[in-house]
Amino acid sequence: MDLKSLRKMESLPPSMQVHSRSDDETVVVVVKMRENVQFPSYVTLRAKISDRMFSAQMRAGDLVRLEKDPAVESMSLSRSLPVIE
Amino acid sequence: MIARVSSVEDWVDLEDVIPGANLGRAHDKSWIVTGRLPIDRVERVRKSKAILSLKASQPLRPALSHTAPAMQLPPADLPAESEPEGGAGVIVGIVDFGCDFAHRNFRNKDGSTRLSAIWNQGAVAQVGSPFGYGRLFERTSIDAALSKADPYTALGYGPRPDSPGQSGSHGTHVMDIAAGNGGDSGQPGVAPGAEIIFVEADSTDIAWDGPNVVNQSFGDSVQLLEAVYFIFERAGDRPCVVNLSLGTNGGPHDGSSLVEQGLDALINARPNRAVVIAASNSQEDGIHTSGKVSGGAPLDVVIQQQNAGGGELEFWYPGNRRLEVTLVASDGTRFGPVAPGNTLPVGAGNQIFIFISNRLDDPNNHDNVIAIWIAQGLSDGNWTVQLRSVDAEDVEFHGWIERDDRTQASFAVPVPTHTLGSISTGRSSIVVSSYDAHKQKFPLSSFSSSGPTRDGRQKPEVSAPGHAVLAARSRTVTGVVRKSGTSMAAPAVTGLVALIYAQAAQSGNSIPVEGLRSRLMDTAVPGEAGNNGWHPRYGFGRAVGRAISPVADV
Repeated sequence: MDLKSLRKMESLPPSMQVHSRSDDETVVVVVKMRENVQFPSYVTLRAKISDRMFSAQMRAGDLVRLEKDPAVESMSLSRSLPVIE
Repeated sequence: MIARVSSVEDWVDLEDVIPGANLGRAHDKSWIVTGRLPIDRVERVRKSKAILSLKASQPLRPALSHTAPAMQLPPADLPAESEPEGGAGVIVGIVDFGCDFAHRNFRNKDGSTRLSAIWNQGAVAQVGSPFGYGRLFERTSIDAALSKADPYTALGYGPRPDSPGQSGSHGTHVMDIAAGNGGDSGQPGVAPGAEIIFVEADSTDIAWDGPNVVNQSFGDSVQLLEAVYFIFERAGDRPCVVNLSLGTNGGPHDGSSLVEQGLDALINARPNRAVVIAASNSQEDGIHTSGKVSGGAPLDVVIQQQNAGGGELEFWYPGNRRLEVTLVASDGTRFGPVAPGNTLPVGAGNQIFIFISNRLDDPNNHDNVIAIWIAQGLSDGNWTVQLRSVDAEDVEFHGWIERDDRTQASFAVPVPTHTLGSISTGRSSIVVSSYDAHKQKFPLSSFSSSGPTRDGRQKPEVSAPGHAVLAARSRTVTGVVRKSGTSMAAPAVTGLVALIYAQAAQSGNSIPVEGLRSRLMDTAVPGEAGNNGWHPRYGFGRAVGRAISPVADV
């Protein structure tokens, strides 16, 4: 999975773009849908953040399906957040 | 510290110094004084003109003794007829690292816990774990553990023991400022009557961040959203404010990131919900620059490495413009140019040592972003990023260097604005900067980051005491420790929000987040600069107890 190929993926820090990921690797994402559409049935939701946004855990390979889904507006791969001292 | 100084006034005014006693005059007419300062500020203070010599130590004062007066929170300073009852009935959520549930400041008089839940996101999942991961400890489990000789082992959770790099856990300190009850010390936090929920943050993706993350405290963006969701769900209809102290330097800085949009959505889902976030502590790190690439002429942006530590950079610019980027090493080796829409990995296979991406059309804000990663150990010289406008149109840009607490690179010509953290630019959050409440004029903390956002909104909103704050020290039962940072300022405002909610609830009022934000900003006291209105680092000023007023417009 070349994350750089996903146009709906929120811009990633460059250190995360350096490495490609195997299709079977587990990733965690936040997905934003377009207005007035259903959440995709092929994804198992973790949290429904809002009517248009949810979090989910999935195979990296399944990100392509989200990318191709016209109901999906954008998605963001989980990224680390250090403590602000 | 004990210091010999040429002027007592100059000593008292020094940033980072908490003045102690004036011991009198020496034979050479200098003054002998005492004071406290963070160890990493010693060299900075030593260079001050007023300092003739500097040596060691002074006894502790009561915890949080300066926070409440500076915020005008003692009962006598509160607005007439206000009795917020310490935030009773309000949930204070803390997403952080290291909750010492055994500390007296988080226990009731009968010894039972004030925490209604702890969710340890990094623990092995159990049946019933929120979202299928981590481990949830309910009040009954916490109380049962508190009855044991070793409550941490009994519960299967506790703050890390101290290490050379850590004196007391961050989360315990933060939680005490927001909602500690003073325990045996008699010096409570801002909302000692609130109910507390703590989420021990963790990251799913730590392996991708390499060796730099070892022994550091990391959450991640998705689990952060889920933590806030969890706390708000647990609060239900009860008022709830969540405190966050996480962030990096990168990102669009316009509130468009999905984690910030998600926080905004959670906050706005119902009234009486707020998220308070530390502004960040990167003001002195030289991590932001901005400028304009004039048509046709390339612009050089120089990056200074620290100990050949490499670096990670982002340059954001409008989606209707096109920039070409070239990275130039200190020996003149050029990597690029990389045209708009292209990437350039340098290396082979998994051995990439430079990576340049020139991405068009971010899906959230439709701006463009140039991202550069330089591996550690390539050279110890400066790197130059050369930006050129492809179509000869002028292009305005902002650049950030990602946070690296070990080998932080910096811009040779930094611009000291727009240094807020990566999740501190949302539309509905309340972002807090830090000042020193030990000084008469409440000067800004040198580390406290600056707004505005990249899209020009006025954040931080308010400031609070974050300098050398004494609050609960984990694994000491009653002890305290001094810490500085905007993450010490944010929980003071978190506690204040709890008091506002508690006061409003007594009148049957609920407060939408925009009303809450207006209250905090409209009642803030101007900062040291005497600014009337918004200041890029002070925000609208010092958050104070006047915001609690029961007659305020809700």
